[in-house]
Amino acid sequence: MFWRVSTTILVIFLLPLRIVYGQPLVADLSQHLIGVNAGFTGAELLLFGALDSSKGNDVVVVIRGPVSDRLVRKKSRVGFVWANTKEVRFLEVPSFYYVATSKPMAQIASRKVLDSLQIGFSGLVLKQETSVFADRKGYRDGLIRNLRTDKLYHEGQGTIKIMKDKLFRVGVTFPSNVPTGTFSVTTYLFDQGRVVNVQVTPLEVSKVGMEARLYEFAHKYSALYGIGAIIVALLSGWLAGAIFRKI
Amino acid sequence: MQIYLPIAELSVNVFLFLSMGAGVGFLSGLFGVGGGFLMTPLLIFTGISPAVAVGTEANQIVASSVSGALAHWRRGNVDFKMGVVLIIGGFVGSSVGVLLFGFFRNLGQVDLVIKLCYVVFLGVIGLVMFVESIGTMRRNGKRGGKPRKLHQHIWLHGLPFKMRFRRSKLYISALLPLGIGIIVGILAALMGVGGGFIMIPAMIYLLGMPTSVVIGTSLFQIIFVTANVTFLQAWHHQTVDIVLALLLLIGGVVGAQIGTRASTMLQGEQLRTLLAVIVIAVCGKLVFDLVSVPTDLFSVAVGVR
Repeated sequence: MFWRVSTTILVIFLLPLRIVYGQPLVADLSQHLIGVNAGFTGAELLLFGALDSSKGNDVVVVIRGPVSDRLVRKKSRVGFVWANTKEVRFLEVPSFYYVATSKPMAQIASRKVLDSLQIGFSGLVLKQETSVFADRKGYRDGLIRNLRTDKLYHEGQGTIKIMKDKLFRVGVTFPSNVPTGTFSVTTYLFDQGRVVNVQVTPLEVSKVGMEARLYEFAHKYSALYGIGAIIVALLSGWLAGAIFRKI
Repeated sequence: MQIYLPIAELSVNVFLFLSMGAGVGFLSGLFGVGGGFLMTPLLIFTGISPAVAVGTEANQIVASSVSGALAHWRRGNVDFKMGVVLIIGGFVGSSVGVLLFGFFRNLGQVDLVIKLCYVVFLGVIGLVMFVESIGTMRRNGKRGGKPRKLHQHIWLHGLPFKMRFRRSKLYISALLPLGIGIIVGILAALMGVGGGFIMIPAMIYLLGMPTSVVIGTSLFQIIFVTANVTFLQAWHHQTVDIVLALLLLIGGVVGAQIGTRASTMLQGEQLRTLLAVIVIAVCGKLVFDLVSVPTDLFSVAVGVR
């Protein structure tokens, strides 16, 4: 009897201990694969999870897409026309960048801490290949501005909703021109300006179905694809003519 | 209703692109031009990258030109011999053009080059056509002009390799249509056009072909040259989006048939005046775009090594 009571009491105490020591933060995505098919117009995902508010109160989510080089070109007046006159190459630029926080970033942690984790546009490390003596900031701002217009870069402060100090959720929008590949989804739990826990969730974006096969075919068997495109065009032209003759 | 384009990598409104195809296809049948000089800028305005616009448009032009050329052929309005000579020149020119396209793309100047080419050629041709066709219309309006010769001989006709082109009633040097074909081919590859807007004035004024045969023969040449551009752009640059091409094509072939029928209702001079007006208008819009201050001085492109 004594042992039964004490075991029960021990288990009841150990359960919350498990949550406290094992998992101050849990995060998940509504789907782990975005399949780009013929009717794809973008995707709306939900990132959600649970937190232990005794460990930390502030949640930050960062999603990064696969990296590639980007060329940023600046126009200036040449005679009468505007033309691209200068070019700067940026290395390892994320093709997709999304940040969401539960509070304004300044209230969560210092700029130094956020920059070291590359949270927020100002903290993003974008390496320039050439050293441009003038207007270095202009090129970087131009890059981020263009990607924001394409809806590929997004920074939302205070968009993560925390309910009853336990659950959190935020919507993530992916535009129709989202790049394909492996994305890293990182959720941070902050407590008084320091990172207490980190969770990484997988996300994959890939073309599926006939669209994927067309894309692959166009790249792997380019010459055949070209001939195929011509044949389709010739047949349609002839077919349209034949149909119209009957009308 | 939206559809996702696999090569252009974005999703577009189906009905918008179907009607774009139909509108431009109508012009194709009406004037015997591919319509590319309108469609390629339109595609770029709707957010398709210039490279994909040029390659895909070439593909669409193949279809709408087949549709129009067949209709003209059935009426006996195609000079096949002239067409073949033009095609040989066109193959050479378009292959060179695709190489040039890749070269400019790497320099990051492909947008500017395309627009400048359009401005120069459309401007010159539009003005020349406009002035000439207004003049012809005025002359035909007067009573009793002296009987005109079949066509006028210029020194270019006397170059070597003279050939007899029966359907056009011409005996001129083959180097002339060959040269025209080469120039048109380069433009076709660089600008995603059929080249009709160069070829038709060249056929009428430089070669001296009768207007009735000009449209059908030009469509015939365009089919083969744009097929070559489609093939090369797909093979070298993978910039042909077959889903987009199909969308434009379905509207385009329908429009071309209607346009061909409409072309028999208007006189040659009226057609040329109309075309000249459209050409000048497109040229004006391009000049405006080039000269006005851009909304963002910075633009971003993917950097491939």
